[in-house]
Amino acid sequence: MEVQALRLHFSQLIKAWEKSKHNTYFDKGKDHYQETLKYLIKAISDENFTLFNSAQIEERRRIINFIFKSLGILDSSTTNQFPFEIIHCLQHALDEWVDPSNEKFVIVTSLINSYDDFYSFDGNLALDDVAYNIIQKVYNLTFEYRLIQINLPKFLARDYFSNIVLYHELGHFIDFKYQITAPFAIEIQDKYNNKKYNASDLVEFQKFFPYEFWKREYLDVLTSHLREYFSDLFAAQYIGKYSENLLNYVSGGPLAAHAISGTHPSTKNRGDLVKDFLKNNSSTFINDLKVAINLTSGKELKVRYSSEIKNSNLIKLLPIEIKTGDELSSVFVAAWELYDTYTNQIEKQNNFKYPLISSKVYEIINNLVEKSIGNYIVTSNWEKSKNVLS
Amino acid sequence: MFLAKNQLEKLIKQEKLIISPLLDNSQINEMTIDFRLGYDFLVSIQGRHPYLNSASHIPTDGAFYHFFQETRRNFGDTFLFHPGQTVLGATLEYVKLPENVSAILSPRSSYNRLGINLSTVIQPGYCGCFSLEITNTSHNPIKVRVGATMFQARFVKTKKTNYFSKERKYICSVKPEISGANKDQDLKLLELINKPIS
Amino acid sequence: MLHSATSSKPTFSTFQLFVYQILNGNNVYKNSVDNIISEAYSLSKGDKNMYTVNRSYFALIYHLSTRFTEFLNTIDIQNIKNEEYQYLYDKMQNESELIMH
Repeated sequence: MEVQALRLHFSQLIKAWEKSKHNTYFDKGKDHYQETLKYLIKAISDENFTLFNSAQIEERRRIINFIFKSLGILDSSTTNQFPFEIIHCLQHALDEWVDPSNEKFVIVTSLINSYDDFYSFDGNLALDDVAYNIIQKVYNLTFEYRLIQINLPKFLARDYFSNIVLYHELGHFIDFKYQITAPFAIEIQDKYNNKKYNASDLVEFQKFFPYEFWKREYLDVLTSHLREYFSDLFAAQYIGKYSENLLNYVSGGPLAAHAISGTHPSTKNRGDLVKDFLKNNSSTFINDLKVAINLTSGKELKVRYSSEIKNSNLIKLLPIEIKTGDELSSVFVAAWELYDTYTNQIEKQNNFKYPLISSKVYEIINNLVEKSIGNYIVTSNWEKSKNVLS
Repeated sequence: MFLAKNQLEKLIKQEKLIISPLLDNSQINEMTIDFRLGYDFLVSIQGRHPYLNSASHIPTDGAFYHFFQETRRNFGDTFLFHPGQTVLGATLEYVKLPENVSAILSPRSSYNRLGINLSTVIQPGYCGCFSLEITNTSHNPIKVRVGATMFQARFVKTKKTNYFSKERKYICSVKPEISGANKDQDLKLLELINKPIS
Repeated sequence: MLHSATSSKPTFSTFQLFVYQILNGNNVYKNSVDNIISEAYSLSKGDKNMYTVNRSYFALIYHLSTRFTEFLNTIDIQNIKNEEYQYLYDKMQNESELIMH
């Protein structure tokens, strides 16, 4: 019966694969991944299932699930509306945190129709070391690339005002990859219980964790809240305060600012922490977190957007000239700064004889952000290829 | 009088004529500048509506969106133009014209000979990627490379005007946009002439 | 919901599967299992801390180091015996929940 169930599972996979194996993708990482899947499926099909014991059947079950999950992600990333501008920005940030010469992650996009549950980052497949381990051990196959899936709403796929929240989602991935906040939560409890915090530290921790955070039964809540705080700070490195501004609005504004749940801290506290970080205010919480980040990832939590990138070009109706990848996210900050404080600068500068309606202002700035990033991608690819030819 | 190479170069140097990105200075010719095919397209398809209604001033009557499908390619990828198909595209280059220079965009001769056709006049002071309304008039599909210099623009000196003296439908476009024919103010008037209020 | 994220964590069952294979004479996972036990041992001894142990299996390693302290104290980390794998397997069999949330 167990063997028949495995045969059924594998037959279902083959049916799905018949359709997916002809997919074409935008980049070589996905092509390479698909090629490895092909070898893996061939290797399984060459096996005699009747010879397997229970453990071997269980191994195959997990591998088949892994392949199904991969196909699900790959199938939804063949879209001909691939939002490569935002993906390029996220990939650049990812490469700053995970050296691409050691580990190769490919961000794949799934455009979804739902407005609820819309922005999410699924690192399940990328971080499933167990599956990769089994595949390597059983079939001697290694996936050179790993897939990270981001989901975003189809109708906002090219909206750069909202898409900046994906930096927060990337933060979650980095956290899971390096396991930063899980030990940090334990450390906070240990330090509190061993009376390692001074009076002002305690005031700070009590503010950000307004419950009995030192008790073992609150470890899960503390860890969940730390995950959100970490990802907020991670995003703030790239886009300053603007992710939090948006979060405030979608969470219900000032009326809901103090609401706290088992998984999320209050938006008020999240905003305050980001402010402390950006203003470099003295904070034991942030300093200790920085140490934890450095110990686990070897990286530094710091402001990474450049205040040198101004919105003057946008006001002149021109794209911003981005010179290096490090400046990419600064364009979002510049755009938000202009939009947030908009007082007809565009009309004044360009001698408009009529006022722009608000949706037109949004469209102009959004278009210019897209073109700024697009121009950077095109120019850098052009230069790279030119160097290869010469 | 078309602007010559030295005049075009001077305008670019003075940042009065902005072309971004200008990947290669060799795109500037004796009296034209070459423009590249961008990566965003709106491809005409057969929709559920019986026809494209550009005769009505009510935008939904036209339902132009139903007749076009959005698609994009990577820079350097290929794109296929089918015979008789209308494809809306945009130049790779974002352009800001001086207030006293207009542009006339056409295919480069090499692409014209294959059957690629378009003709666009751009007003002085325009800013955005040039809109491309391309038709393959040949009997064969034509495969092209995204980023190829398929188009050329001639620049003409005009009287100084203010592009934003009247409301504009397309400002800072960076990708093809569906026709705004339904938004033409004249349409209401013409409809009224056809069916006067008694 | 605007901000959501998921990620996998190695579970008991996977580690158990590896140990089960060893007990069945299949040694392909022996290195992986021994490395995890060795990391848990280093953590419990204080040779490594929570931030320096293997990141991929952190939750599992931390769990072993806190819940299997006695077991870790008795084994020879260079030469883990079959009955010790068996002990580990049986003990874990009784714990069905995820290692850490």
